[in-house]
Amino acid sequence: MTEAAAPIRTRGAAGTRWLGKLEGKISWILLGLAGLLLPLLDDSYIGTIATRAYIYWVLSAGLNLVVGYAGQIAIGWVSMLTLGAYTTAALAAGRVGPEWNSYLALLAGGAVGAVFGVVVGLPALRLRTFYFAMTTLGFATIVTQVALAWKDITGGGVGTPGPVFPWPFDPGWGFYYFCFILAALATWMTANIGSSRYGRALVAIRDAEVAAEASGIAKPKLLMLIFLLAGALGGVAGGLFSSLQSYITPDAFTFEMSVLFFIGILIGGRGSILGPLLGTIILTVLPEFAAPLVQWSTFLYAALLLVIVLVIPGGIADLLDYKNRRPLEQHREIVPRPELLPRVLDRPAAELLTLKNIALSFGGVRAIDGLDLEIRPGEVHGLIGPNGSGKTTTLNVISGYYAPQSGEVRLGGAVLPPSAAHLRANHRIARTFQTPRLIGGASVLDNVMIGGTIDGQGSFVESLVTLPRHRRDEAGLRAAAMLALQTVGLESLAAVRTDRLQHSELRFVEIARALMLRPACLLLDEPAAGLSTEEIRRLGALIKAISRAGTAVLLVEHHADLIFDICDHVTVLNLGKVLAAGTPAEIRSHREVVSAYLGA
Amino acid sequence: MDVSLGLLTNAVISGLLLGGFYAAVSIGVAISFGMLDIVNIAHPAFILLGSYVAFIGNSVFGIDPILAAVIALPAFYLLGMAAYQVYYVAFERRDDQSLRGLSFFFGILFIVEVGLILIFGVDYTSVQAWYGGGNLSLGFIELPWRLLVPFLLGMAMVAGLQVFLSRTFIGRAIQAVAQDQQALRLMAANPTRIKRIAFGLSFATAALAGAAMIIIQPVEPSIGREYIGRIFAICVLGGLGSFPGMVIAAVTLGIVESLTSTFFGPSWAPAVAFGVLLLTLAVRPSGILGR
Amino acid sequence: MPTSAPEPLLEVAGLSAGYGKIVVLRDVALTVGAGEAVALLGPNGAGKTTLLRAVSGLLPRTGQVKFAGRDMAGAGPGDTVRAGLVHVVEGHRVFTQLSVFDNLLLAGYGLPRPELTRQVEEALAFFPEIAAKRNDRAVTLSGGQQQMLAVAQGLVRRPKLLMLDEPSAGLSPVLVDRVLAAMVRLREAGTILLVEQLIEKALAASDRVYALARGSIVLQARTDEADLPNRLEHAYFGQDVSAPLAS
Repeated sequence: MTEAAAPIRTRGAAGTRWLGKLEGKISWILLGLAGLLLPLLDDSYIGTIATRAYIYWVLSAGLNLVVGYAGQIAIGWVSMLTLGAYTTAALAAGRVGPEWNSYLALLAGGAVGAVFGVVVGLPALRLRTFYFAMTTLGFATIVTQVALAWKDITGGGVGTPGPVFPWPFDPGWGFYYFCFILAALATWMTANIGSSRYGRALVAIRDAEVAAEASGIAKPKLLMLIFLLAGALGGVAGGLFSSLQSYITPDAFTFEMSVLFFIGILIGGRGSILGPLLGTIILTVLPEFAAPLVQWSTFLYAALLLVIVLVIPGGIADLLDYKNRRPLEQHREIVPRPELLPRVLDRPAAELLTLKNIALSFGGVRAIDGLDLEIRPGEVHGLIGPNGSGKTTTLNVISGYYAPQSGEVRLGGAVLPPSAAHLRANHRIARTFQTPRLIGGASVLDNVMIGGTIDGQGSFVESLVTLPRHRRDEAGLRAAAMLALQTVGLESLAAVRTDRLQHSELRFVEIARALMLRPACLLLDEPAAGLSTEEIRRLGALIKAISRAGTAVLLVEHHADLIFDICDHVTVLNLGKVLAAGTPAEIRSHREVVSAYLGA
Repeated sequence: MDVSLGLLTNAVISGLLLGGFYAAVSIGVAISFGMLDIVNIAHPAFILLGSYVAFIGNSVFGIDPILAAVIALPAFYLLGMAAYQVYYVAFERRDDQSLRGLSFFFGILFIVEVGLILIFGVDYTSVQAWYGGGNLSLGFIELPWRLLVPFLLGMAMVAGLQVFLSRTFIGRAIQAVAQDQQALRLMAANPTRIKRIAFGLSFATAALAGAAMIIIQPVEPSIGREYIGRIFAICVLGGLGSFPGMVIAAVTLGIVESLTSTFFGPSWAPAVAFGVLLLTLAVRPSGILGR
Repeated sequence: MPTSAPEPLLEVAGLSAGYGKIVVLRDVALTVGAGEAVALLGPNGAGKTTLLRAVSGLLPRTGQVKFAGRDMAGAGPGDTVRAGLVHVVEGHRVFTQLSVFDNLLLAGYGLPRPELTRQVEEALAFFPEIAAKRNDRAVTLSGGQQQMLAVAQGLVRRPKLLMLDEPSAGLSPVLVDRVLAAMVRLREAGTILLVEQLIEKALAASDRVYALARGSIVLQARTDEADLPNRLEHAYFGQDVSAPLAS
């Protein structure tokens, strides 16, 4: 019965997905048509504005991934525009050696942007958000200052002419179409990344960094790729800008521009492509409607920014998000289907997890004091103990967030490297967290798919242009995630925004995400907290079934009932040491355990 | 040889005095960012507002610019309290600060700036005061009054606020609120009210800083932007939450900027501030005297 | 037996509270009479800290709380403190950058100066050890001394009822004894509601005890009743110790 039901549910979800895609596609089709047909108006003024909007969007599309998806506050990204503009202009004008071909000069601008994108992005790995914002602003100031001072290359305050592109992209409508094509390309590529596992990983780093690490997502590499792409796009936009302006000076790259790109993305809404596109268009077109006074456009930007920030924090994207306004069923029940587990957990050998002589101190406090633990596949191993006994710390050592001062953790025969939380996923060690760490603004399905990020084979470039391997990856991840959701009983909520779910549902979503790793070892951190009695019973049955399918399960819990019901083996910690270990029955009647718990 | 030594000494002394002025400009942010963790990037705009208030007092009523700023202090204080209330209701209460809070203050920055442009125009404005020109001669050292007065004003502001924070009840409460709000609530103190007062104080310093600014140089509305980098560089270099650190950082930046200006040209000044900021973040992010 | 029992100082009925979507306490009821020392025990995760926070107004709650005859519906922490119900939070959190004396002055925020100074001195008299360090910054105090300072802060307002959240937490056994010795003196001076994990010490210091497990009260008794440790054990684990395992 369940097998027959499953395909129907998937098709239903797929049907909604197609509708969603079509909804999105209509906007793109309309925008594309508007762009293609604009020249028919034969108004060169409108053409210039539209061209400028395309150029700004080429830069903003890349910046969108940095700000909107990765959550890095890169306010000073105009520096990429400056660098690209001057590189292209200087090369094309022959200020550095012979005159370059305009298209090659444009590519060079992109390359310079890419390099400096990484340079500017590096501090993001170490600095808090606001400080990073300041460094980007600083970089923009410094670049402008260098442009002013380096007279040979840039012409200093006097400026330098921009390149002219030959037919068919010559000034006028030819150049218009060139920029249109590049803007469309930028949109396509960034949208591909946004909806790929890279895009999901970026959002995970932004909103649930600890969980992202546990899913195997390596922040540095991913961020650098994004900064590279955003820098390249910014550089190309700069080259186009210098051609549009036909003559550039350092004060063409103003502070306002710096903030404009950033505001465009904020107005558009995070995690969306269409929103920031519309935002950028609005901000480009706005000055033309403002009174002759330049200052009024700044005022309008600021007013628009305040309105969005105060009233509609989700931006335009939120306004356009119709599907998440549909009300949800009120009394929802979570009905897991443990019988699907063999399909989900289909993997070769079972592994034994051992801890030997682990010791860890924080300051003067011995959190773990010589701990030995063995978690066998096919078993549920409970870890209990009073407050401060070291349960969660132990979990964090196993999952690689803390490095012990001595001792080792082994899976199968292999020693697990101490502080490498993001490598645990490769070893098929999955975990849940004491407070669910999920991305509120993303759909349930997206959150679960993040669990399978490391299973993707395709590279960044393949995702950029949606080559077949990327498509196979996506289809596979989607199917696996739906299966995981069916297993925990939440497939009907797949397309819903995660922050609309009840607390107990969030816990089960975390388990679905963990199942995506087809874990050899599953670590559960107080999964029953906040659940009703019936939900705890179903949770227990699910956990037990997961272990019987071959996974080694470590369960940290306070709920004595759950522990005694489903655990095959229980270890009691007290003050960082093992106080007692054995079957639940043995533990319950163990005098010392009872004393420790009761604190006598 | 002789000429460049004189030039050097001059640059260092100007830098020192400039540093005192920078302390006046930064102390508001040392309170709002250093103690309340609120990224008020619009502070420079309010300093400019203070400058123009001083200008009006001076040109319309003929009073001393600093006196005009003192008269305007209560208004700035109330403005600061109102601004905090909006910030609190919109962001802090919902615990959604960082990006949105920053954007909010950006918006305020632009709006205040545009407002000033629309009222006063984009031309430079200055004041007439007895210390506008001329130097105080101490032996072979010449201290320009227009630098010395803002320096003294800055030092007085820092000293005054330091005394306020450590000796008065409210001052201690402000220090405490940065540390543990929940504990304060259990002591029948209202953390929100305390933060509002602190933010009001932060704005009040902008009035005096503005007077100092228009004494040092003619102003026009958009020069506030140059100060964003300077102010945050000083607060970070000095260490958040430390007034003495902030003063040392302000003087350091003043001297470095002055030297750069003298030997490489004045347009490098904003870049210097950011350079200092980047260096601090790379080498010692907690600053000189940060906790 | 008196025909009508005196009205309790603190009366809690039907209290539910939690954090966001997580419900921690369900329908809790307890009373504390004037002059009593009551212990609130329970395994961790039971909701003891949540209960104190709900009563003192730090957390939103549903249900009734009556203190000194007054309905505390809608009262925030400030109102609760001014009514005479003081909550000393767990973790001996004091303002480390301020002196001991300043910490105590802050604790009396809003009181007129002469009264305040007098009450601060009274509070210090309870803890001669930290009275000697009155001008030192709180960060220089040991854990146990900081805990004493935290309790002293609670005393500055001469509370009618003092709620203490795990004053022994994180302290070495020697310090625990010292802090709990102060409890005995406090008990003589006023009413206490004590949350603790250390059962024996808590029982020794109180008149009555409530046990909280899984968000509800599972046991109430006088501390002089028989077989208390056993009954607590049952209450904690929710099942009979000697019963066979469910499969």
